[in-house]
Amino acid sequence: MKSRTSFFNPTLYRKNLTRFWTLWGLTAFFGALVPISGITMRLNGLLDMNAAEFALLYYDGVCYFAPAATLCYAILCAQAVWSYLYNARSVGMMHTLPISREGLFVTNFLSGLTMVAIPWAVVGVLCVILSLMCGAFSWGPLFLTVLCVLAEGVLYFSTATAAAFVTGNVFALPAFYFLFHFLAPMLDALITTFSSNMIFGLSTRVYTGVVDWLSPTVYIMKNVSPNSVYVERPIPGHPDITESVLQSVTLEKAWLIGVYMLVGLALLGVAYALYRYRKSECAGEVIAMRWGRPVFRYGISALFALGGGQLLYILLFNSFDIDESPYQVLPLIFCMFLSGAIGYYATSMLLAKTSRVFKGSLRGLSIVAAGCVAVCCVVGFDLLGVARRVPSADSLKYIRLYTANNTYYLLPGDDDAVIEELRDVHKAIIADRDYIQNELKNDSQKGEIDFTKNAYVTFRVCYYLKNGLSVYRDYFLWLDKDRMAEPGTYDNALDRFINSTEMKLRRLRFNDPRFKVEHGNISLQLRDDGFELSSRELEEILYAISEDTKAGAWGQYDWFENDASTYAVYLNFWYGVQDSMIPRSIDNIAVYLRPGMTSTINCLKKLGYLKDSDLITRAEMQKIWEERDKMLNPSDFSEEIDPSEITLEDIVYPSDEVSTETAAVFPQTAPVTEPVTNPNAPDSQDSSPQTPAESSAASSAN
Amino acid sequence: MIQAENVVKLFDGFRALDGASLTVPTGSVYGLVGPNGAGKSTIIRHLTGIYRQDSGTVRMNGEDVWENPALKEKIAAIPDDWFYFNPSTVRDMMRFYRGFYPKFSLERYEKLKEVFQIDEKRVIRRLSKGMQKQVAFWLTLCCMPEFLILDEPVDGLDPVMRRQVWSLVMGDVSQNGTTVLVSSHNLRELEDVCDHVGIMDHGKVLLERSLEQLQDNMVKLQVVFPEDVTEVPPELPVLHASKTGRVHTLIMRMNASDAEEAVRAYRPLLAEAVPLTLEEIFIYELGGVDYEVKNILL
Repeated sequence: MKSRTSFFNPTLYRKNLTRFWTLWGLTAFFGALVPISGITMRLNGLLDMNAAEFALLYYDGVCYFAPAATLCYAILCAQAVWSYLYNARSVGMMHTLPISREGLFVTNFLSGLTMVAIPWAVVGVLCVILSLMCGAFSWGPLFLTVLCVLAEGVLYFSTATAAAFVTGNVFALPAFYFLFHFLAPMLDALITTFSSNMIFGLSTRVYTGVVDWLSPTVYIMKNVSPNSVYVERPIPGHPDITESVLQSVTLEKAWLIGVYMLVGLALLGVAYALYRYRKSECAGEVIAMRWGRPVFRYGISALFALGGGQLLYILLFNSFDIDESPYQVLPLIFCMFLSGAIGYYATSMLLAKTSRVFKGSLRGLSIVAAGCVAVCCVVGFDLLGVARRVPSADSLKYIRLYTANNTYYLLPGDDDAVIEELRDVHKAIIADRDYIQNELKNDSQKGEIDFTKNAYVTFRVCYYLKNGLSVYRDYFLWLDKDRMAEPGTYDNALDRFINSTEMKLRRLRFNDPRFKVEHGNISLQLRDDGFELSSRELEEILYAISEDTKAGAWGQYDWFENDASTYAVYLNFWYGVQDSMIPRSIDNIAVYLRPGMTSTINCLKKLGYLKDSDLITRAEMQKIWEERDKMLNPSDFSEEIDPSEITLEDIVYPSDEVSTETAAVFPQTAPVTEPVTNPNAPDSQDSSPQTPAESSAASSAN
Repeated sequence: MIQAENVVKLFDGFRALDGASLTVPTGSVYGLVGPNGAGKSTIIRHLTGIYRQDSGTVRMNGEDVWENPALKEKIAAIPDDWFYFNPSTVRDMMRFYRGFYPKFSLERYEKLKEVFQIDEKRVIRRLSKGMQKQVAFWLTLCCMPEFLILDEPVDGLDPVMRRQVWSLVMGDVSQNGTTVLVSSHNLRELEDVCDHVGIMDHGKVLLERSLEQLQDNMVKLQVVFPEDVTEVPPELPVLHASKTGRVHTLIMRMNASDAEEAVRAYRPLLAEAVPLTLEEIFIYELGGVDYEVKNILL
């Protein structure tokens, strides 16, 4: 008969806290230094914060500092309270005591959690004192912060506990813990790098982020964020000068932390189940469960093969030229096998706790070799047809295409003909795979490239399918002017497609009901100045550009254009997608003013944004800058620069989808301000918020 | 009563216990003997609830030991390598034990302070190995256990302290009816304290007997035969015979009176039964069952 099962033992709880007081004591001390310095500054009259600023401070802590700090600190606490599991003597003593494993589990977990919470409690109390001293105490943000920090504590300590029961070795515990937290992003990076160098069409991908949700730290840091609202207020005594003042702060997606805490609790349940079946005699073993050993052995071997194999390949066969040359199958198999074998023997040695593991290892090594050969052959020879895949038109929900410095959305139904043309271009690219890869591979041997006849172009297409999946392909293409004249080449197909009447119209999105211009700005680079444009101004300017398009002054995409001939003035337009089929998105287009765009130039002059003095080309502007630099620093300027070599990238940040995404997130994070409008404009009533994304505006030259 | 039946324990395929069975009657002192690697510590870890057997049963007073805190309150153990928290003092560990064992006696703790004469404020880590062992006895005996499990308990203790410790244990047995299981690879160590003995090797308890049974079942007889009898008569059921001068030493599997009766037919000049040591009993017992005794008794 079993009786008197206690789930908590106060003696053990106290013992844990007193044994490891140096750990939580030192952490609390170092944590307390920050608010203490704030209190000192306040006492010296150097600090004045309002309640919103305190809230922002708390929320910043919750989103960025707390996950990183708790991630590292929780594992130390776990190593402390679960240390008895890793030594035969201590595990013997603890399991001899009249307390069940449930009791040990609950008591040790609670004592560890207390150790995690104590430093935060100390820091929290000091922050409250500081906020009271500043007269800026507020319950709401404090309460939410406490909840979030506690949830993060539970999450990290629970995962550390789960890791603690997987292993029987105190040094393996942090390795498993960090592997658990970052395995998914690490695999993402490794697999993406591998596939991008093996599969034609994924050439520029480094990291997808699709499994970030499996890494709580990464996901919380990326998705949970404070949303600050600022107001413009005149500075006291200076009515013409305004300052941005933080008005309120909310914590966006804080619920995610709660979800992760629940995941942590689920893992805690797993840890308890593992403890129930854990054998005391596994103290000292790298893997506590017998069934986990092959998983560990072959899992680590696979990681070694994938990561170390690529590294070895780059070192031995690729000379670090990873962007240009796809991996060769045979050398890669050799490198992966070598790394996989190292991983296999390393794990075997750890598991066996001896270096004598070679005898009888042939079977395991054969499995590693077979895995390497299988993966390399399947991917390298495209046995699954991934590189050749062009989704059928009837399977599409919509398409997003980025090329020629523009983004295009295409929908089945309205755009069937264009979609078919796009698919033909895609097929032409796939058909010319060997040519493209050879041209890029031999890039370094080409000598000086004549960019009036050749160009590098990005062709990025994402097919969103009706089944919810998507097919993403990204090609870095070499364009040749002579080939462009030859029908049947991808150069020709791409040029015909992009410069078709239909696509020219789409570039501006003028009169396209699916897109509505939401805001825009003008950048005058010579003056280093810029202005937000009101909606009425945007409409006028877009109309003017469409007139220029009709007149042939804008719209034709010249793949071999010398950017230096465009004016140092560009316009940015951000479009909201109105179509319900396409997810809410804000896309942008940059229009570079060029000689001949008379309608647009006149319109901008009429609106008061443009002066004749702004109408200089980039080449001329570069000369002006050089002259200025020569005058300021004559000794530093010894080399002449040919203005014809100047590209847009030299002058502004290159356009990419990144800039689109920046714009897309902006409305949530930007301060709400009084609009900054053109003081010369005749009607600047309607306006959009000024965005920090302006600085990263796109540079598509059209 | 401590009872283990057909206990099997595998470590990565190796059968550390291979159907081990033992029975320790209530209030007895049971000596478990065997060479290194015989499985003594393994079965003791089952008896204290550290290990869970792969098959078989481990019970005390009819209750399973595994995950039975109520029963474990009655069990105290001193393993061969006793664990203490670093850097705890004797007093710290006393408080820790007191938090787990409801019957922990502070009164006894104070009394035993005089016996062991160790400063309770000293950090245990800084004590000698022998003194650490004394601390282990001090705290364990204060738990007032019904079952006392000792694994190589007196290693590292000086002879005086050994006697002292055994005296305390025997006191508990006689006053409180404590059941004691003590393991050792040295039979001579156990000879004076055990009333039951079991012998283990290769994960099995090969044999277990009470001391009384053992002594009744075997005799060592010193015999001087007349001059015409130079060799031990082959009719005599002798397990082992040796000769020093004219004195024959015979080990026979029977009690003393039967043995004397058996040799009387040969008109011995002297026939005298002398006590067998435990070591001798086991040597001849196991030798009789075709066992390599020298591997067990060191």
